[in-house]
Amino acid sequence: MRTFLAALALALLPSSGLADDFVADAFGLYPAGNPAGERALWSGQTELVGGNGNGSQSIAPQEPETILFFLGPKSLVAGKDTGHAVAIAIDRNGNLAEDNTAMRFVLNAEPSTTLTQHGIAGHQFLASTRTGLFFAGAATPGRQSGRAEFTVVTDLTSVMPSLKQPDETPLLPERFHDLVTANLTDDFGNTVEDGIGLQILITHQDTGTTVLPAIVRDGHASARLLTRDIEGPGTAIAYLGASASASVPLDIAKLQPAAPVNLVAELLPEIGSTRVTFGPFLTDAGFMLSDGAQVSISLSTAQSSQFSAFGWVRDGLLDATFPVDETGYPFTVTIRSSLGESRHTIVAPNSITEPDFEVIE
Amino acid sequence: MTSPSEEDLNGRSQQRAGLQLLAIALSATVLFHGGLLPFTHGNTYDAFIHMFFGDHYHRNWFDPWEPRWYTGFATTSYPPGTHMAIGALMYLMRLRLAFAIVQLCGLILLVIGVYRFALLWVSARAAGYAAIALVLASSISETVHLFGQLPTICSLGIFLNGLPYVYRWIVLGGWKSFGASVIFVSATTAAHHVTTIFGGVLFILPIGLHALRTVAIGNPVRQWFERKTLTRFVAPLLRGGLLAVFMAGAIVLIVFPYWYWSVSDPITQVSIPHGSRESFLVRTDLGFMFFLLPWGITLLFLPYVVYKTVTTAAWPLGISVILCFILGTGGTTPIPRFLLRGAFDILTLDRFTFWATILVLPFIGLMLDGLIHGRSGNTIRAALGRGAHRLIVGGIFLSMVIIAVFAATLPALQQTQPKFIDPTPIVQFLGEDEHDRWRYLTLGFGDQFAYLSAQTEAQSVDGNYHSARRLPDMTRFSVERLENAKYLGVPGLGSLQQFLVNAETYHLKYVFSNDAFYDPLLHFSGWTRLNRLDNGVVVWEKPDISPLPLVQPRLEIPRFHALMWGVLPPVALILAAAVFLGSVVQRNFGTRLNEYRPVIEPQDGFSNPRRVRILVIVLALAALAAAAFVSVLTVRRVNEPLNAEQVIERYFKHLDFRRYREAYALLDPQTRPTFDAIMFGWRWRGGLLSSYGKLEAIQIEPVQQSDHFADWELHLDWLTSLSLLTEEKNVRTVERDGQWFIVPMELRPVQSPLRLLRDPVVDWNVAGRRQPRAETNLHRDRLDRPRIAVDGARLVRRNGRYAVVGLIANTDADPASISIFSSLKGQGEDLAMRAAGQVNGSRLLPGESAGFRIDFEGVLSLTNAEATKQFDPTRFIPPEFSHPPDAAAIEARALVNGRDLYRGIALNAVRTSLENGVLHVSGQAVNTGTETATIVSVNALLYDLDNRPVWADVGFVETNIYPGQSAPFSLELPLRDEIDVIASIESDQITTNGSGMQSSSSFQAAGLGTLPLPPATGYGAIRLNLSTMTYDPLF
Repeated sequence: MRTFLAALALALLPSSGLADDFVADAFGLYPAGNPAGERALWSGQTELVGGNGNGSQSIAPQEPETILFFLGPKSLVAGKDTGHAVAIAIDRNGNLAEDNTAMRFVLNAEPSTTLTQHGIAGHQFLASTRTGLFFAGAATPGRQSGRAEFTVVTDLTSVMPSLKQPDETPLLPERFHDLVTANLTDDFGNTVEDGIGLQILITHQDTGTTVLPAIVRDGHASARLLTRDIEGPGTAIAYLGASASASVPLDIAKLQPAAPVNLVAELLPEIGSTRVTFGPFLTDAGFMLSDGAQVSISLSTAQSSQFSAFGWVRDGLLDATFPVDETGYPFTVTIRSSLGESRHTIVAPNSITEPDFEVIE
Repeated sequence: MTSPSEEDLNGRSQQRAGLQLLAIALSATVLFHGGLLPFTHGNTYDAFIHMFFGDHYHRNWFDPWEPRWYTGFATTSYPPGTHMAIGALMYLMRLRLAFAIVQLCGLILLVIGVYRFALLWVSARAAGYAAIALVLASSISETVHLFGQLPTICSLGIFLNGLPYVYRWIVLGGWKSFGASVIFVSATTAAHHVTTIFGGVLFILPIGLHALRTVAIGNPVRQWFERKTLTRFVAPLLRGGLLAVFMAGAIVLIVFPYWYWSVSDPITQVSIPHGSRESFLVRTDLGFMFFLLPWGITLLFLPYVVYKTVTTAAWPLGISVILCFILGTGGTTPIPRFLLRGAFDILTLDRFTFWATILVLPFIGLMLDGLIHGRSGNTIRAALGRGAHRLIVGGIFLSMVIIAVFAATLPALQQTQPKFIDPTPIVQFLGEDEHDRWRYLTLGFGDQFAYLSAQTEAQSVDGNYHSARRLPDMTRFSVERLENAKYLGVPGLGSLQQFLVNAETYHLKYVFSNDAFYDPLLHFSGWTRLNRLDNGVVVWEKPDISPLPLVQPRLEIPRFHALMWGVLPPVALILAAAVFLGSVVQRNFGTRLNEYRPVIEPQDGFSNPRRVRILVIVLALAALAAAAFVSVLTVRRVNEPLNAEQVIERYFKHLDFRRYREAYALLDPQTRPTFDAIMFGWRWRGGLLSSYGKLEAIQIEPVQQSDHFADWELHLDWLTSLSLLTEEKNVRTVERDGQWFIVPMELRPVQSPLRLLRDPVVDWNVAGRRQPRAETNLHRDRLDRPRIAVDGARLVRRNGRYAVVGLIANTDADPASISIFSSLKGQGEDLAMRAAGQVNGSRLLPGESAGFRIDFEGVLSLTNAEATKQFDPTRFIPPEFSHPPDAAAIEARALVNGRDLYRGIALNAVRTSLENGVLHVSGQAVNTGTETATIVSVNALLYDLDNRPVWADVGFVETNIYPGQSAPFSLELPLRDEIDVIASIESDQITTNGSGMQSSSSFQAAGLGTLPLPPATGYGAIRLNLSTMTYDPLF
């Protein structure tokens, strides 16, 4: 209502409305003689209407008060990528700074100066060949931007991994062994960042391939190998992207039997079966075969019935029960383990026996 | 013999007795149901849904668009009366109290309504007993305290209170009765239209026939062929017809926007399976829930109902009861399907059982009245004595009370919902840091999801009102909601996977998980576990999801519809309340008699105590003999020794349900270690199957057998959130004294090489905020997107299924979380867009690479879905494209990610072999790090002979792996000749991080770092990449 009355009063008193100049812009009209108005502080060319007729006036921006600084990309590949820094200078009223205002950029600790156009100054720069975290900013006399940061990182495509030969050879079974590369550097000699992932493949002669993830720490990639279910000679290669190291020979110790495996057959008449205890599995390393070592057993009875079993050594021994009653004796047992394959004949139940021992392999 | 109270039967004192009984019923309602409601409604199925709707009207009464569920739905899809009542009460009280008050009001209305309805059929005292029977009805307990159905109770309460006006209008006329009838029908419709529609048939038709009989009695004829024989019915029939027209008009008008919505946006979704449609003989658990429990002891009185239906004027009511009884049997017999035809698959049939238990109440009232005051009571007293009479009457009431209390407290005895989840931390989380700019999903909340929804303005892709679903991904599958996907097996998890994988499509960024079962699916679909809230709920986040647009699409609902919706239902309810209260006052709270009704009169003069006594004794002996026979059979069956296969099956089921003592009892007593030792083994072995799997099926095949021994090969099908997995196992059984036992299975006793393992690890912290400031997204705090490269991508087809495969590499110096999408094209048109699922390479260290595969699952056509009834990944129906796909485009983008990058797993002794037309890759996964690997995924990218990717797949290690331990793994991969390459995807069709200029596309040389494959497979090489979930196992 109040607005309506004001508009009505303005309409009824046209002479007072025409007495002053009005500035016309996209947001409407405002009195040119009203310096307190916020819009009167906006720089640039504005059109005057009313009063003494049409015309224009120019309002210049004031000295830059705020400098906004942007830099991208924030992560640059050493000696390869181009960065782009931009500074926007704004006066206290939000007007862009006048053209040709000198803007001083500090990048890679090397200052350079650029002039603004429409309040904006830009500067392109090549990433340094030195990796690390860098600070940057822009300044006019008396004013500075906030601090910006960017990192320069290694060029992974230029890193060539080199796998070191393990100190220990052969590698003992059931042990952790660290496979380590030499210091990983790019073409500029920068050490690669922590956390880079590599892959090491070990091709075994008899036991397939082992796939190991390796991670860079302190410039070296390392992977931990647990020598379990693998043995014998092989070769290892480290891969990083399209780069591969030279192959490194590895030998994982293969234990040999120190004595024939002992067998104890016990008849279980209530269920018409025989429990056979295998072991201990003695090795040439001076201690029994590790717990968890896989053993597979084939049993052939006098009536040519075939039974098989599979198990793991525990405390040096392995138990297996077969549906063989007294009529099944004698029977032959073939044992396969990492110590090789051997065949045994058991003549009678409930006896400790190792007759007819024969190492097949 | 004349009873001293016989004089009262038709008199005022009997009316007084009826009112006294009604008063007792109302008091019992307030004390029993009112007392339980605050404690039981939280465990019900529907209460929170109605609260959500109530909250909607409280927030915006006149806007029927609700954006918080299903990406938006119209609330005109459900009659609003009771919800508006909650919404209005929320100005005075909190949501849950408002719900309880409205529910209690509904119950009170129902008690009065039953009394008034029964008065039309039986004497006042019998009606009073009917009201008491209602309060003690197990169907009411179940409906209120177990199901939490609010509109059903309220609408029936309103409806029954209006029926006397219908009766009076037909018999006597009078526009007041007519107006009241229409008002009550309108109010019933406002609360729940289904009650009005079916009530018209099941309640009003019997009353109409009853009214015509009244007219006939009031206008008797001397000869049946007189003219008046028919003409006396003309006026009542015309009145009935007029009322029917106005009732139909009221049903349409009051909830017109609902009908408009039904017609303009019809429900075209696969029907949701409901237990009430099953055969109760096959699913006895459902029979108990939907038939036996609601009927309760009333089931024993059905012969009495049939007898009274045949012998008295209450036959119209009896027919209604019998009809509802039959329809309530669901799929037990073919009759309900025959009667209901297409509606059978839409309606929940337990409502018929519920209505039957209400319709039967006049009969029950009559029976109780007779037992206490009438002929049958006298007969029992004479035949068996007063003590026996008291025992019988007391026994009936006690049984009713026990069953009602049991039904009401069933959720406390048998958990039907997850424990209460305090929604406050979640609401707080969604309100902070603009988290409500994305959608969320809950898992394992049960119906409490609706309560959470009511507390926040954030939106969910899920919902709890399946009729409103319109998203094809939900309506095509018979999955009610995503929230409880695991209970719906493969179809449920298939639906959930679609949403979790294609989260970007739905702006789905947060998952609140109250069930660790879903952890593997979330983790391997690229979701990141953020933290555990105070209420124990775990928050998962999908990185790099775009926020909801500021202006979201919504269904345009005409303004006058919104106005009608906001005004007419509440006006109808208010008018009905005014008529009800006016009538109560006008009739002096029921003490003034003005009904004209020929009720069923008690019958006189039957008494032959000797015969009754003999009959009762014979029946009792017969019942005892039958019980003894059943007991003997049961005991014999229980003690029958199990065969070896049954022992194996039972053993694994016990383990699946964590019944360890029972499982231990099935192990060979001669060789089994102590329970603690066995238990240790079970606890040690966690991982995908043991901790996150649910046993679905066991296939047992004999290997070798002797008299006392049998070796078996088992195929155990486990349902995990990732997929159905089959575990192969060899088991030996042994017979001891005629009983079979399982020989205990051993764990591989490998020993961790070191007692103390030191591991210098690299860790990352991606700071969200670097300063304590409120701003959520400062430019200077943002990291650049890591550079990634897509290499060798191709569009391929296998078994008619299209997929895009390729290699994704992280070429940056920062670890990356990667999202990959692909658009399928045909003749230049975009045909479909999907994201990479579990074969994704979603978390890569700098320098690493992995294979990805984007499957274009066809959204089943409705016809297909109806045919298959479920989403079955093994029964794939090709997607329907307008053109055959001939090209594809890829968009990949990455964010810096510092989580879930455990790289302590190595693969030892990997071997490949070709067996039965399948490529097998197997070996030992070894944990060389310091964390427990709960689940390990092995990503395999297969290369052509010319060193280009041609297929990618993923497999999982079945068990957890502790540091220094190992577990076998095996992958089965298709041969090369199964895969057709449709097109290569060139670099101009690949966008990474929003740019068409790929960074270092040749970063990963094709042949490097791969394992060679036998030429017979058709492949050249395979690349393996490992990803590990390291959260605490459930065990």
